[in-house]
Amino acid sequence: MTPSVETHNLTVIYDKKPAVWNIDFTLPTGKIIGIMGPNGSGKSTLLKAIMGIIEPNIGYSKIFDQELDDVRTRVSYVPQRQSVDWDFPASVKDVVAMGRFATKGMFKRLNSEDNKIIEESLQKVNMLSFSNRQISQLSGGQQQRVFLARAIAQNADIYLMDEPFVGVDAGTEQAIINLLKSMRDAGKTLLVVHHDLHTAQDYFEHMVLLNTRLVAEGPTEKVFTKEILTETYGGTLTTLSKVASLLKEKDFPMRHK
Amino acid sequence: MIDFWIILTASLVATSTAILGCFLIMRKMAMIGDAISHAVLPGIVIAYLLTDSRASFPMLVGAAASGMLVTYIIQFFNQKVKLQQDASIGISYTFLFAVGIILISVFSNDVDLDQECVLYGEIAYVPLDKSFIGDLYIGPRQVWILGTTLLLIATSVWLGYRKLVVTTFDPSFAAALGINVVFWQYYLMAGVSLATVVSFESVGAVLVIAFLSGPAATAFLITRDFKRMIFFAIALGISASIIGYYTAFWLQGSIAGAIATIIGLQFALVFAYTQLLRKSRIAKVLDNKALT
Amino acid sequence: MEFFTEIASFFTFSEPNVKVVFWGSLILCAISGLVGTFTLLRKRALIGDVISHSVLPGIALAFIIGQQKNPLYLIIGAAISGWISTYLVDYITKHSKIKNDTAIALILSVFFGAGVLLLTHIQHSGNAAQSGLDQFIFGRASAMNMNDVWLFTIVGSIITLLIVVFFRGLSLLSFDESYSQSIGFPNEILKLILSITTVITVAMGVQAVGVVLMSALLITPAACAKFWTNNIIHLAILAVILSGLAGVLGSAISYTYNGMPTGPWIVVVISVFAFISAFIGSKNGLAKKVLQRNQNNKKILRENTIKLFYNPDEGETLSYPFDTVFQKSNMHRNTLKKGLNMLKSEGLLKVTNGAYKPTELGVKESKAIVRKHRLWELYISRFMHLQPDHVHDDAEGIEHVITPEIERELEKELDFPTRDPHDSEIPY
Repeated sequence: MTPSVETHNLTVIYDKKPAVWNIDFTLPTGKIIGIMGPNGSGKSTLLKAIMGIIEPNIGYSKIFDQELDDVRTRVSYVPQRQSVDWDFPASVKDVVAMGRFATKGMFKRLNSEDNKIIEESLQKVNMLSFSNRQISQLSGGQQQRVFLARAIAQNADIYLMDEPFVGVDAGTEQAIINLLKSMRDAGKTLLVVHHDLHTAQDYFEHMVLLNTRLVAEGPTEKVFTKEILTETYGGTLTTLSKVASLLKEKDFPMRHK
Repeated sequence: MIDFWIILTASLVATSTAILGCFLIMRKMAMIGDAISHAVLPGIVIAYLLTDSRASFPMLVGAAASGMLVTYIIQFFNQKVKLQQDASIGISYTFLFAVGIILISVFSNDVDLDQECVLYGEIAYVPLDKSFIGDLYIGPRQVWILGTTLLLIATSVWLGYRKLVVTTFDPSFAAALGINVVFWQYYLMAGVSLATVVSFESVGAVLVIAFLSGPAATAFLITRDFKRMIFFAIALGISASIIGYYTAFWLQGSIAGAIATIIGLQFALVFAYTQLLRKSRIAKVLDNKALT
Repeated sequence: MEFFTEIASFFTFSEPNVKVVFWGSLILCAISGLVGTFTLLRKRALIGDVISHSVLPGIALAFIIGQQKNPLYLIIGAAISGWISTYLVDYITKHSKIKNDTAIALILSVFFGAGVLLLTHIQHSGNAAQSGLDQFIFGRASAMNMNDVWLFTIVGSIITLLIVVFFRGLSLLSFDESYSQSIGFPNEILKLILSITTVITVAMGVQAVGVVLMSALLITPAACAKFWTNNIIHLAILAVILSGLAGVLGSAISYTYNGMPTGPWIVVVISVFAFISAFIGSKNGLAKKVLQRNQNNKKILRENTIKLFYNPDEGETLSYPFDTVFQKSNMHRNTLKKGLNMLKSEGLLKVTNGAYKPTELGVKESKAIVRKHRLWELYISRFMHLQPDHVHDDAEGIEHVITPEIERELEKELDFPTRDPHDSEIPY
């Protein structure tokens, strides 16, 4: 079976601190995979680097064993809800319609089939009755559902979601996880950034435990152990941080010839 | 007829800038528009000195060059030497604008541009600069230039509409779709430079900023649909041009200044209205609470 | 030549008016440098821009009401409309979904437009005393008189005094507003002091440099100074000095040509200071970065070359002909030659009959770099769970940044290891 996502030596350094360092893994398909780690452990950065939104300093990643550009239509990305300005003058339907742009390109009009997909996607997140609502009038949970509907409308094979459970009400959280499970049952792969340890075991079948470096990766029952969690949440590697800050401060190349 | 041509000129500028302004303010880039509109000055003066004419094409090239230069200098300060964004903008455009003013003063005998007109244009003289096909009078030259520009800008925005909207609303999602976010940013900047440059002669730098930010901001308060926001912004810009023209006539003052003032009044009215609306809504909520 | 005699005549105050221009520009620029330091640190540089454009309607109204060009009236009018403009920007941003930059652009252009409308209205209504009002747009230092200078001196002294007295509070406010609030500093009063001083400075300054360019005097001097120091007191002093210098030089240059506006020249001079500072400044300056990069490349080359001579056997040190060394390395031929020559001149290598042999010092250095490499390999394989075949590339780069301090830390964290992940010895 082709792996869903694989990374090789993926390293991203931000201003004076490493975000992720030398991440190397290969993930299975058809599973709900959690990316776990403490605040500032590079979870979102990892997702962005995989999606090509930020250029890694070193290393590369592949999706379905291919370059990202060759499989874009099969990949969907759900950014953090707080990353956009919800005052933007648009309706729920406008936002979900963006999910169709990947296949429709710049000019092709959205036809009845697209509209059907948009409606179905809204139906799946239980937001169909809100489709003409202005996005500025939505609650946090509703905003998250709109983002999910947009992703569903892309009809992709793998979904990369950045903190979809942050700031949503309990009902929405349950609805989202049920939705993810039904997507998984339809053969989709879901890569979800999450930080709540209490629910992690119930949500994910497979996990990536991250704290700047990769601490562990594997089926939940194997990696969700006390020992590994202690290492993941047990503070940063201070020497690594010092080295990374020296690299930035002195503008040293990480690789050279 | 003179009234008509002046109002038409202002309306053409208003339309181009309103379209672009809606994208600019949603991208939090209103001040980049400010920077570009001041910074095109040295380019215009140099082009004028080199070609010794007010021909539009060389001026356009000159202005585009200094418009690009200012974005480059801003980036240099902001990214290469890590100066904060607001200071980078402030340093860059004031520098270029100062150079432009100095050039005008040094070559004041050769340059038929005066310092004030740079800031608030010479819209009143637009009808005097006439265009002919053969012997046929076809209207002022500026109207033709601005009309072409509007056509160009409207078409470009229409062609790139989807990508401009996605990159404005959610740049990370756009990047994940494989859209080149930086390209669309420059696409928009190119539009702003073009609009600024061609509007410069008729309405001056400051009214361009007012046109770019004002109608879009007012429209943003009125509507929650982006397409409608663009149309409202255009309507507000055109109506400000008309009312502004007659206000200037009545006060015997600068037309550009009057239009900018009207743009401000439009905003003030709508803003006050939304504030009242919000207050009454809050009052209602409080009343309901008191009842329960 | 004429230029120099003109410049000389400026600095010798041969004309009485020159003295006015000199002191006027100096005082104005110095004060704006001081006030601008805080505007810049509070990331409100563009607020200066708003104020300077927005004083225009106040000036025009003061003229209409006072019916004359009384500098005090004009400054009061300017200050009031400048203050209203900042208040409006903050109000709009706080009470609506309009973002700060949009509010700035809107208020700035509308106020300026209204000012232009009023000025042109005054001109057409044919008031004789109006002459010189339009100078506020571009500034005319030569239009200043001794009364203006006295006014600048008095107001400037008050502003300076205020800032000196409240220096600690203002610095903390600029550095960390919420912390300042939490320890009970009167943030609102401090902010008011800053906005009033900024507004008054701008209101005075527009006479000399004009409304459009006044914002540069608030932004650019402090930005220049930021390339040289991070200490807020030094920053303020340096900004004042650079700004004052630019004021004097700029007005001197504009004096030498007839009809040359003063404001733009002052701005060009201070901008040139900014460019110079950005290139050679000790903080974030471009030249420093280039030097650092050269130094890095040298260090990398040096360490990579000496590493080629690492010999795990403690026995006698061997000599290698160039071709042997070259084959061992994956460097470019000329790069390697450069590296070898560098080591030779530093006394790490000896050359006999075209063969290179490390000196005692060279052996030590080669061990040191190999030790760093292997320590790092061990560190990342142990703490990052990397396979031994994945650690080499990382260590190739990192070995050059490991300082003695980090090296000791690594040794301690790894419990003074003797073998790396490939089971090679870690030399000491």
